[in-house]
Amino acid sequence: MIWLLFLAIALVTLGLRSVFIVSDGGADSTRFDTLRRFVPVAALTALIVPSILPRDGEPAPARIATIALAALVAWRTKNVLVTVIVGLVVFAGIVALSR
Amino acid sequence: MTWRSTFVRGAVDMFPVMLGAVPFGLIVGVTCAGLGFGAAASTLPSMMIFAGASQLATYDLIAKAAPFVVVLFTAAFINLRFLVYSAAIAPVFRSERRLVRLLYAYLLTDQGYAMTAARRLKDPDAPHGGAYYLGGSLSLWVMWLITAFVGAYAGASIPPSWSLDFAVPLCFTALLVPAIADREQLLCALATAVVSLLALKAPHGSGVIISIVAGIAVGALLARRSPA
Repeated sequence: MIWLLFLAIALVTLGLRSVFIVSDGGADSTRFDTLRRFVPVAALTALIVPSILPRDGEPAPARIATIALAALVAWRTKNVLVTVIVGLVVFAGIVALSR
Repeated sequence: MTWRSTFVRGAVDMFPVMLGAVPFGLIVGVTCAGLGFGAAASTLPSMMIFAGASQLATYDLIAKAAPFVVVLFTAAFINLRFLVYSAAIAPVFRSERRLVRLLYAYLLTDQGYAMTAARRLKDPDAPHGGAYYLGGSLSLWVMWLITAFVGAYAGASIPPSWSLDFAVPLCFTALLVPAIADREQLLCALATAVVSLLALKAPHGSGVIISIVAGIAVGALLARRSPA
C-alpha cells in the first residue's frame, strides 16, 4: 500500500513536471501568469510556516527569529548555501546558549 | 561555448546550491528510514519522486496514518509549482527530442528552474540551455540519492543538537525570498502564512493544501484588482 502511494505520487509529480515540457504547448495567457507568480510563493510559504513552531526545550522565538534572519541573508546574498549554514549555526547557537 | 562546456558550467553553478540542499537530502533519508525502511529502500522514493518537500510531507502524513487520498493530494499541491516551472522553462527545451524532454521534466526542481531562469534573464539567447540545465540538475540528482542513502544509513547517529531538520525550512526560505518580486507576491506570502497558522490543527494534515489554495486565491484576487 505504501509503495503504491509512493508510485502514485511519483507519477502525479512527473505528470505535473512534464505537461508543458513534453507537449509543445506554450503558456503565456494572463491566467497562467497569475499561477506563475503565486503558486511557488504560496507553496514555499506553506511549507516554511509549520516548521517555525518551537519544539520542547527550545526558547519559543528561536525558530521564527532564525527564519527571519535567514530571510534577510537570502535577500542580501541570494545564496542558498550561505543562508542554510548561517541559519543552522545561529539556531544551534541560540539553543545552546539558552540551556 | 560547446555543449560539453555548457554542461560543466551548469554543474559548477549548481554546486553551492547543491551543497545547501545536502542537509535537506539527509533529513529526507533519515525521515524515510524512520518509517521502518532500510537504507536502500529509503533511497528509492527519493529516486521515484525526486521532490523533497513532498517527500517529507508524505512521510510525515504516513507516520500520522493520514488517509491515502490526503497524502496524495498534499503531495500534488506541494508539487503544483512544478507545473508552473514546466510552463516557464519549456521554451528552453523546445529543440530537444521528446524523450530527452521527458528526462528534463523528471529532473525539474526549484533549484534547476531558478538557475536556468537566472541564466536566461542575464542572456536570453545563451546557447545550449538544455546542457546547462542538465549539468546542474544531474549533479543535484546524484547528491539527492547519495544523501538519501547516507541519511537513512546514518540516521540515528546524527546528533540531534545539529537540528538538521531545520535546514529544510531554511532551504525553502533561501528559495522563497528571491521569488518574491512585487508587493502582491509579498501579500500572497503573508496571507498564506496567516492561513497556515490558522490551519495547523486542520484534520488529517490538510493544512498545507488549505493554505496553498488560500494563498493562490488571495494572489489571484489581488492580481485581478490591479492588472499589472
